[in-house]
Amino acid sequence: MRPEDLYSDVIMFHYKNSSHRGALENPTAAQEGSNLSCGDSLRLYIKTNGDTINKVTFDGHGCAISVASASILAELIEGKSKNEASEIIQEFYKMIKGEDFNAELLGDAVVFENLKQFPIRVKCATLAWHTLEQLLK
Amino acid sequence: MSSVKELDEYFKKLKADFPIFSERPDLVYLDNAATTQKPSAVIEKLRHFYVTANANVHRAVYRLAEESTALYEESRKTVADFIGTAPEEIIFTRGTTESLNLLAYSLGLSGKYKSFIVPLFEHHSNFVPWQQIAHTLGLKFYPVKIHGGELFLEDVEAIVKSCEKPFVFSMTGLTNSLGYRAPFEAVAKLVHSAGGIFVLDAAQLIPHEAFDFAASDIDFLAFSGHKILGPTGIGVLAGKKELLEQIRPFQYGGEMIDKVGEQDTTFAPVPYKFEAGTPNIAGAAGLAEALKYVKNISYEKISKHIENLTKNAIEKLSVIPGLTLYCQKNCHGIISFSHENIHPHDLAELLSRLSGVAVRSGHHCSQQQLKVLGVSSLCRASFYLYNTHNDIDKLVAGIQDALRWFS
Repeated sequence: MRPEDLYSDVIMFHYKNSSHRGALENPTAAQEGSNLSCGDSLRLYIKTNGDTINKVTFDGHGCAISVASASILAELIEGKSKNEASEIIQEFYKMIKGEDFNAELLGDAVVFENLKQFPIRVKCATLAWHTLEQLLK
Repeated sequence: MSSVKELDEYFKKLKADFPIFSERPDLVYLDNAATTQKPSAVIEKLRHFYVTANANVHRAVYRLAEESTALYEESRKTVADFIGTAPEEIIFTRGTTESLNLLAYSLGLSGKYKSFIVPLFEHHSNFVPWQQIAHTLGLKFYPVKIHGGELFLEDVEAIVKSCEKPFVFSMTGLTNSLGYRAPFEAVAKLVHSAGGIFVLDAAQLIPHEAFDFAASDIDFLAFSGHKILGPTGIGVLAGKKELLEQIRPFQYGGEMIDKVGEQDTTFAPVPYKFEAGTPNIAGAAGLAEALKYVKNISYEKISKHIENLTKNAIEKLSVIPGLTLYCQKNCHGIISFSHENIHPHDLAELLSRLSGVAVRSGHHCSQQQLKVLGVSSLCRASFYLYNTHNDIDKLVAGIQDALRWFS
């Protein structure tokens, strides 16, 4: 297992340059998510118009994997309907579990397929996704 | 006392006693506060028990069972001699966590105590049981505030004066998060002068410091075998006999029984009333072997070597730009740190992948302690006797390599 399999260019780019980082003013909804075993936490904000999720941002603190994952998720979900977002979340979980998944739906998030080699970091990568899932309930 | 170099050479040679370092020659193991590696003598003792003496204890009259029982009780005596108690004051448990849960339940169920008190820097295993059992049984729970990572005696004094009595005060001798050597002797005095019971969590202390229970002012002591070269799944609760006799068992089952009636039961004498079910016999033998190994090397050598390693690591880590050390003035064998440009998980991951250095990252099961420090996660390097100054150099170089990834 090479470190570059985990810290790929895509992940490092999203970690260092996320355009979705920061609190959202007047969000339609926000949700706190925390990773109990390591103390990391993030807050996810969404602004919706009817059924469409127009804007997604996040703040909080976490490792490169959790921050990059939140950034990729935010980019992917913007402009999608709530149902589409839920479908994307489920595809992400399938990929993380090593099951068949629809890569077309996941965009940049496919970089996390390598997490199969780093099972301890799965909880970092799924933090934002679990948080969005809660938010959409 | 040997020089720094002589001690380093001595422990470098001794590394050969630990087969994991031959199996994994690139491993730089700096997570000793979590668990220690095992010497061949301990591994061989476990094998020897299962090959030559495996039978249940205290129950049968055949020769194999006699031998197994003798080995188990000899192990109890070795542990008792090691910490200066009588053998009947030693209860074998699964580890520190079970020892403290057992004690919190048993003291709580005795109906005698009205309050439990613990400092905020405690490991969760010495915080949550007291907090939760106090709530369950309707007792008062008092957390003692901390200052950074330190405990001030005036805070202890104020609480033990004002709390509902009788009370139990439980604290660690050495914090697992920052390696802070807490002033437990002074706290024990304050607790006793206020009429309380004092419990010492020695999980981190015992591997580093000789301890004499009989000469101490401590009522109960808990530690784990695996943090002092022994197997996992074996630990100790030591207690003053008169106190152990007063409190109730909290687990019921085989071997802890005297007479069972239709409606009531009487219990075996201490320590057996606290050892329900088949114990970890091989574990007890392995722990005894580990303690013999430590005694043979001597705490004098071990403590001095760990002090040298800690000092060297502090010197070398403090010059890395952006690195913050969360180290108390008197930290022993444990250094927690973070870097402004990289999250502790990423740093620990890259240390392992790039340099083979194993350090812990996270909240170290001390969430209240980290909250006081205003951080959610730290990296922690913790040393034990087989570590060398070369390991420190590898840690420092490893951090610099990891930082390049995040520059």
